[in-house]
Amino acid sequence: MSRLIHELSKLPGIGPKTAQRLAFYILGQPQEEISKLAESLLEAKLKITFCSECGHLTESSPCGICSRRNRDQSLLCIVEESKDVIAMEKTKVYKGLYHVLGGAISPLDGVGPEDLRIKELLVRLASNTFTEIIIATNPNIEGEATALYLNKIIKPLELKITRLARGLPVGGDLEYADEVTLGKAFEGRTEI
Amino acid sequence: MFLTSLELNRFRNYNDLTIEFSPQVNIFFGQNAQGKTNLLEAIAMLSLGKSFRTKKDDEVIQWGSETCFLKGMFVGEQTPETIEIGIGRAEKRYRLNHQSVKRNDILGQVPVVIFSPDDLQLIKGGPSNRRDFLDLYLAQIEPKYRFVYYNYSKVLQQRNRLLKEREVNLTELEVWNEQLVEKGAKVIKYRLLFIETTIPYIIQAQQQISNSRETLTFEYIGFRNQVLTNMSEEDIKKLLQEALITVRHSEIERRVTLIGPQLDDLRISFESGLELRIFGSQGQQRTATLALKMGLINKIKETRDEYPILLLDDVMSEFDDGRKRALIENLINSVQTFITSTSRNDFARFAYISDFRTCFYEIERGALKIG
Repeated sequence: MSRLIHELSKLPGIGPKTAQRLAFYILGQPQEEISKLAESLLEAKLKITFCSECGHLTESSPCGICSRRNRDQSLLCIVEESKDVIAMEKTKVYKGLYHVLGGAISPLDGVGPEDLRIKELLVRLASNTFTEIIIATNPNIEGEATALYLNKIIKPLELKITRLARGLPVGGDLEYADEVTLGKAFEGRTEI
Repeated sequence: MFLTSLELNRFRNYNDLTIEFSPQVNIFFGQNAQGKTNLLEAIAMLSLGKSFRTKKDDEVIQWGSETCFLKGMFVGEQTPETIEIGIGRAEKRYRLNHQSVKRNDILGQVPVVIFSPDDLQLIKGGPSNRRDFLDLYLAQIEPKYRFVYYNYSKVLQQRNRLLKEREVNLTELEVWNEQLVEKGAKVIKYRLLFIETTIPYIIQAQQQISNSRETLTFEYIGFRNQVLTNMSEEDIKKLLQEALITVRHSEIERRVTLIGPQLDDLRISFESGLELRIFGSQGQQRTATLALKMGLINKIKETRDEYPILLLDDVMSEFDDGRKRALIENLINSVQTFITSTSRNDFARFAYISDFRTCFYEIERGALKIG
């Protein structure tokens, strides 16, 4: 029992109390339910790999997005993590391809450019005919540093490089926006 | 804005305390080491979200306890406000009007100006004393500054870490350079603007206290002792870029960032150009610290349209009668003031203090007698 609690509490966002609650819940379940959970955990780990092209999580490489013909092959969107791809896909606005870096430059966490999938990115840029590169790293210090770095190394290739706009959330109120966001929204205003 | 009541649980030597205050003068008197300054510390903590006496906030938790709790009720021009802080060994929780918030949301809600015996370090001590002073009061006056400063310090940490790596990736360094210049220029711009707009208040206070005998100048000192006047953010960026080029080799050798607002200074000199820090008499230095703080009070009043709370930690013994009079006559009738002192009579000599609504509290071993 204590081993189960210990293992569960290693998961992100799960403290010892939650781990204990989960452990008791699991014990209360019928055996087949638990087998299903255990199998799906193992199966996920065994079957899911990284796409050789974009670095996104997938069961078969290249992944569903890279291998689908109807995606716009001239657009490439660079994101930090796989979960960012999933978030972007939910929008159904973007029809191009992705490149997952696997993180952002952060010396404090020991992550430098060589730890990100940047070499793979350069190979892709050289062998494909992208017309626009969209940098979609997070709008924080590390994401911004990564974007600047990418800009530096992609610029010589003379491709169009864009960044996602920063500004007001849809359905929000101006008065509740924090000053920095509002300031950015002002800088990035568009003509209507 | 003023504090109407304070509640402390297991805070320093106060086990369980609730006090109500006068909106004008509150005097804590008693022997040494009875807990007078602890009360000022608690009041400042409700305003700043941290202690002004220690960097380790869990030191304020009573010995033998694991948590402590502070609550202050404030009344201002607008609505009453309640600020609560819970401190544990590993974390702190803040609540503003019963809503859970972050420290940054508390900071600046209720501005305070603190006078303490350590203030002389502002003049005599190293540049970090003056930078901390600028940053502390800027954050209270300009809510945006906290964010600007936080972003800069993150960039600085990242860059310093990168410089410590065995082999520094120069393209990556360039990226952090750009960020350092951009975020650093913002910090400096805020400080320059703050200095420019606050100095008139400080000089005015200075002349009041010293009867115009001496005038001081205040200059922001950047990289290699360069005096920065209020320039545009673009110009500051250019300066930082140039400075970065000159230190490029030594930065890689010494493995640390050698330019930026974390190293700048505020230079205070006489009109003749002589530095107050070196050439000022003890008395002149004291007058200057008093002027700095009094100027700030008026600046806060001007920008926020209400006075800050004034905390005087055992400073009455430091000032001569002229300075005390200046302080009392100028401030005490409009600002809520908390004073600690070893004797009740310290104030009786100032007959005019009795015109104000003054409350006396005698402090003895963490207990309090209204007297």
